[in-house]
Amino acid sequence: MREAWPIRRYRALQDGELRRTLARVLPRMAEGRVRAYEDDPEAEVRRVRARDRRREAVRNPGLVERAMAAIEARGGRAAQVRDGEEAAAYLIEIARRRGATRVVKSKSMVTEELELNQRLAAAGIEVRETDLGEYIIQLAGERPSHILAPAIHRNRSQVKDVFVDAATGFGVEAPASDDLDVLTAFARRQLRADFLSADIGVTGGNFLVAETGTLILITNEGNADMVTTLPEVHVALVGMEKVVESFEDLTDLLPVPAMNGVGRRLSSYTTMISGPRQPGQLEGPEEFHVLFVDNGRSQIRGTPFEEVLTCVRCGACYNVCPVFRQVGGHAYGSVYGGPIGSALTPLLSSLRYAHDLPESLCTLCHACVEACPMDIDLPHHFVALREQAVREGLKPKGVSLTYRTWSHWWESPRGYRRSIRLARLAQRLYERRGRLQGGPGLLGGWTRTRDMPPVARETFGEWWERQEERRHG
Amino acid sequence: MVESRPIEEFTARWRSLTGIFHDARGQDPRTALGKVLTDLVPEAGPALVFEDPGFPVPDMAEWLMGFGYEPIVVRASAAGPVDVDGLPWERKNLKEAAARAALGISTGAWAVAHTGSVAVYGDRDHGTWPSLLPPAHLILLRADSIYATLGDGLRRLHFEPGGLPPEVKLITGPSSTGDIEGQPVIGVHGPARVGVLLVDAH
Ligand code: SF4
Repeated sequence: MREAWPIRRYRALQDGELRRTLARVLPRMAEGRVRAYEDDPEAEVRRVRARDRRREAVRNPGLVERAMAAIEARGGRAAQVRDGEEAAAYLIEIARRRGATRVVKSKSMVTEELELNQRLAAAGIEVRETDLGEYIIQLAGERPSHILAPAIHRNRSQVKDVFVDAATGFGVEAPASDDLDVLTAFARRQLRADFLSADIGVTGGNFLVAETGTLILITNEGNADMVTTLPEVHVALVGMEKVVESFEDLTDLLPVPAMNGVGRRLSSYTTMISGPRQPGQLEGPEEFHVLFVDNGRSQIRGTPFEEVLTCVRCGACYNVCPVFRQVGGHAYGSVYGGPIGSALTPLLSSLRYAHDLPESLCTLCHACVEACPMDIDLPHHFVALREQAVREGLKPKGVSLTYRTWSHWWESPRGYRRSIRLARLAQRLYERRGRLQGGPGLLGGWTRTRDMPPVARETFGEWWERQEERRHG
Repeated sequence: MVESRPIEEFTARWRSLTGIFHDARGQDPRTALGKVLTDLVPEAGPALVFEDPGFPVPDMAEWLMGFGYEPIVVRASAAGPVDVDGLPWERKNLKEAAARAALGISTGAWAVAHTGSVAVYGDRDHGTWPSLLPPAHLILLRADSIYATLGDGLRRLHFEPGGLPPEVKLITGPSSTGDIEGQPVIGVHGPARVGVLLVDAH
């Protein structure tokens, strides 16, 4: 059961440290994007081409099969998995066959979505997150709060506390200060040992090229390259919507995540994997597997919501969203937070599960549409999801009744005028120092944290009528 | 004659990403190597050198020793990688050697001026561990392999005569993170320092 939005919201708004960090980091990333486009006049042309290629790709149902054939042709293995259970079963099978017990993982939202770590842990397989942010939250037992910066909700001294606790558990020396270099060095040292001893490496995938079976991983830290080249097995879990058609598409696609997320032309590492190691090669895995994950994606295909599948998880919409900037990722109470998460979460699971996201965490300001390199019209989809929630009867009775009554009265000018007169009478009960505070039903809740001017003693309409009467009467 | 505009653009972008760059064209290669290493590596130590059969620098190990490094050579051969004495490397030993090296040296397959990136290949004849495990990485880059745009480089890769390598890594600056408070920190898992030594096309 998810916690209710007012509880999540309250907790986020009380967290001063979180809000200070969000206020500092998010605008910088958003400005980075704007500057990067200003610096590079051709970038906009490439972005539009990339968007079109993504749109074509998500509409093309044959791409996954083509990709699978290409992967197998190069000595890799490919499979489709429906959900977390099937994905975990696939991995557990490999682990049993090879006697493997230790998995290192680089950041992947799809594995979060599949709750892969918990499933593998239940089978006695230890999973170590190796992206610095993911490592921090894994040690702290939390969820990622931003797709690019999963630990953005913690400041350095809180990170140090997490590391000091972990060091005690590991029996190693704790970081001496909360200096960023010291903290990073601690993680580097600890994780080095994990990389070198791991049996299986698990990654996600930013894109996968159907033509050549090439998996693309875009990262900055270098952990993904450890995960893909040091263990004997590499398993990539790739959302089925990540497949693009041709190798040539990469020219326009590869820069998109970094350009739009943080304003860089490319991230530090863009890794392209086209198969397991060759005979005579020592680096790289002996086995290379790609699992194409459905987990609700095929139910979005072919619907009016299809374009959300073109998302490249760049994070640009998070960075500009006025709601995200206030409450951060945990307040969404779901794996995918931020604007895109408010669409993806109900679409991948069900509206019943998460209709609060499109309803309550969007102001329809359209900042995300402007920022999105794929031009995904999220607010449009939120409105559609709100309508659907009403149709499906997901709103509490009182809420639907209030809105129905409201729209009934305001349908005609007469109803409107009558409602005004009525409100003028009723508001006497709630007027405090010239503002409305409290009220019947929904209005009571609404005015608890806001106030509203009362209905004027004479509205413009009434004044106008009076003038007319005077002139003619 | 190699076009100079992409080289200039590459140099500027690579440096803006905190990369170290030395132009060794027309210079004594040993002296140039010494210079770039002074800037790149704080303290000499074991140096993992993955020799590129298409681009051999026969005296590299000797020069490195002269600068106080302990060269660990990986040389491609038909039977797989061998060491200086021609003995085959084992995967486990190579991993460990790479992990304790203070410096990795490998060749760049090509580079992109517009993004300031260098492509390194991981296949039978080329390794990516020198670019990953040591805290510093030096890339030998041929001046005629710098393309203007990412598209040019990817086209070259797509039509490599030997087919697509199992692993290709486009390196654009040092290993970095912004995961704590959004503050940039370099040298997380991969190298904190990256250098390019630009050499003549032959
Ligand atoms: S919806 Fe658009 S802006 Fe948001 S993460 Fe996806 S691609 Fe980026």
